[in-house]
Amino acid sequence: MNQDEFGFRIRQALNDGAERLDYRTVLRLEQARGKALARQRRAGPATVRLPALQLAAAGAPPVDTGRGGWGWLRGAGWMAPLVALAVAFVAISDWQNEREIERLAALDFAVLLDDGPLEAYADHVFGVLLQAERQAQ
Amino acid sequence: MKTRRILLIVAAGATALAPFSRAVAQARTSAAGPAWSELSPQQREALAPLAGDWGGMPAENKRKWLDIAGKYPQLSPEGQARLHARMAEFARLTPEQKRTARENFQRAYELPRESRESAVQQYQALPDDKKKELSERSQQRKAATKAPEQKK
Repeated sequence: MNQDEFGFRIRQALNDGAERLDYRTVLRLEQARGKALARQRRAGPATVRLPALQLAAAGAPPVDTGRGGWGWLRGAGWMAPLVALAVAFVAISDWQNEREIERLAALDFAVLLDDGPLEAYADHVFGVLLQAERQAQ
Repeated sequence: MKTRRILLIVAAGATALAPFSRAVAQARTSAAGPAWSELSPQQREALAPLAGDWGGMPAENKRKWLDIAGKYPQLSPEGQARLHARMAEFARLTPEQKRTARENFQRAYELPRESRESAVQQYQALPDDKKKELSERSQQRKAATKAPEQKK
């Protein structure tokens, strides 16, 4: 007996068995099927539990995160590191800017209190003369 | 459930936007810096030579001058007079001239006092046409040294 023939014999035996069921058994099976279908219609489409950050694909059943109405909030969790990074970037840039202003203020304060003529300091030529003095040393 | 969610979003949005709107308001004020009338009497006294130029000054320059104004009360009467005498002249320099002034000041203080004074005397003794000639030569030399750096 090969495999196909064996399968055919099994199917035939099951069909014969189903036809030989008594009417009470058939009736109870029919009622149970009806009840199960009615329950499924009342419950609506089946829900699937997924991890909070897993996004539902288009057309997939609604996602139940297992946290009731708060699940949607957990979805925004991925934005927190980005926001923290942006805040840190702005803070560092602000701090550097502040340090630079303080450095310039200290330098300008010293230039203003100095005896040397401002006109000379502001001229490239004075820089050339200072360079010459340095080389002469 | 839906109404509760909408209310939560609105509340969270308002909470998140409150500091943001404050920051925007502050940024608007700090974009131009404080007005002359907003300065304290001590700051106005320290920065008196700048009163006429204050309104048109960039906010960062104002912050720098306010920093200097904070040091003004610690100066002797002679120091205060010197600061006032040079303040307006310095404020009117171009950004390039200010940069040069800071560079030259630092270079000058790397030299001994005699060398510094000698450079000042030489500068003051130079006729204008000679200053112009030296300035042009210095600019050309700077441009020549910058060119290969830019090619890198």
